[in-house]
Amino acid sequence: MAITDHFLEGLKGWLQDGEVDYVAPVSSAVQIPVYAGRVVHLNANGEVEMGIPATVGAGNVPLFVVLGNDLEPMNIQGGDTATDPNAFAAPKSDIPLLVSTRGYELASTEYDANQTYQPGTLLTAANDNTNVAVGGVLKPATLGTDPICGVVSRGVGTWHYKNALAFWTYYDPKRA
Amino acid sequence: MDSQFGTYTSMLEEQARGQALLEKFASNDPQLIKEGADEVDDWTRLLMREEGILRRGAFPPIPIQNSDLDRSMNHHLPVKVVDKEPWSPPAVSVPILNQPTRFHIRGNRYEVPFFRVYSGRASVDVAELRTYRIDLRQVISDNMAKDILKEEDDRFFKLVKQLLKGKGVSLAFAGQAMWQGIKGGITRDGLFAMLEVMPSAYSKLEVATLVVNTVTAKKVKRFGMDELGGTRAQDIFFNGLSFDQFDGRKIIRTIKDDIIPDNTFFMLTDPQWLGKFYELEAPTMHVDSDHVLISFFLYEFIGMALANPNGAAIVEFE
Repeated sequence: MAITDHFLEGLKGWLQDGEVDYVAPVSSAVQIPVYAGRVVHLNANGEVEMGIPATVGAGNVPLFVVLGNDLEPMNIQGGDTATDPNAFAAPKSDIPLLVSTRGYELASTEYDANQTYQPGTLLTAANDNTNVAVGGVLKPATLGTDPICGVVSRGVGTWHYKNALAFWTYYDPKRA
Repeated sequence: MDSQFGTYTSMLEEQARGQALLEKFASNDPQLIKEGADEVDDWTRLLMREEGILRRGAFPPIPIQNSDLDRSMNHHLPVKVVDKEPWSPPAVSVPILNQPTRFHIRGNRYEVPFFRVYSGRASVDVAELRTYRIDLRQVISDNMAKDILKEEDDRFFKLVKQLLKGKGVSLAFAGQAMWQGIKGGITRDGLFAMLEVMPSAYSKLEVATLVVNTVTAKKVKRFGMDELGGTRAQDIFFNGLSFDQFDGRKIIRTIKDDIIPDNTFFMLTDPQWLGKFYELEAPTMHVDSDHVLISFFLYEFIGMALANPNGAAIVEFE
């Protein structure tokens, strides 16, 4: 595993005045790593779950993961002190997120590489907490049919020697 | 622009300099500049705040620098790996013509992750301060410091609960539950029974510090002469009791009953037997100014992890 395996690159609007960020813990319903660059939303308990629910009119604002819990210091597994004499306790980190409504231009390694992404392509991400291949992964969307989390800007490019999809963040819920 | 803060005591001194710095960005109107001592009488406090439990001696931070951090191939985040005491077998008595049993020297480790603690970011147009008779900026920055320390305490005691798992849960390395309930309310008998929890565990450690909230601490004052074992009860009735020591061990009383609940004692051993609390960046005030707008917040960068379940205990009096 390399440091740049999964990342979210801030092309415009990030780490500047007016940035809208958020932090939240990961729901126990999420059974897959929450990689940087994936799309998530908040459940009713304010916890992170993968992708965006395809519920008509639902207010699940898409959030983009800045640092994933696959990075060990974010999610140190100290073990169970009840059963493991070598276990220890270390705090787990909440996930830092960027809010899509702010309007950033980002690049993410977490996209379906089997699709085509021309500028203007709408994007969505599957609401799946158990399948690492699709949960929170960016893919093309249809306005009205899918909840929208972004619009392709400059398409697939190379950052840190890896392919990533560049897009502007956006939000439009699924419509009836 | 940032100014480095050292201990909390020096933070108060730094605030005096910080205030002068803030005034540089504001107007020179003397209505905005007030002597602190005179202002105390002109305003009413609403919320009690106190210094941090950890920094009052329960588990003080260890300053650490970038060069002390450990690197990883798999991530770029700051982390400190700490060695644990290695195991070795007990000595044995044997007859002649016998060799000692070998054991391989190995030691376990644990990781200390780091995180920032932020106060809120205070913002104001300096014109909005003109009619206040107190220096709001100093009041807020003072409160920010205590709020940061409270967040440290909160994270730490949540970690203690994480380490001890739950009331009545036996821990593998301790050989017993380190979070116990004692029935019968707070009595002299119960308090001494409380001290038996830690030395009864595998590591045979002793309690160095007890942490209790101020409401619970007052219950000890109810002890009659028979409970206290002397005429001190009469003295306590009239003159009070500070209850900052029990059986020669330090007691830290706190108003933070959201962290230390009623009827509950948290017991900690010497920090070197329990875990680590590192301070990578001491509490620092960041100030921004933009013509007439001022904003400031306090932040620090710390790390903590607890490795020895024998070194902490919780007793709830039921």
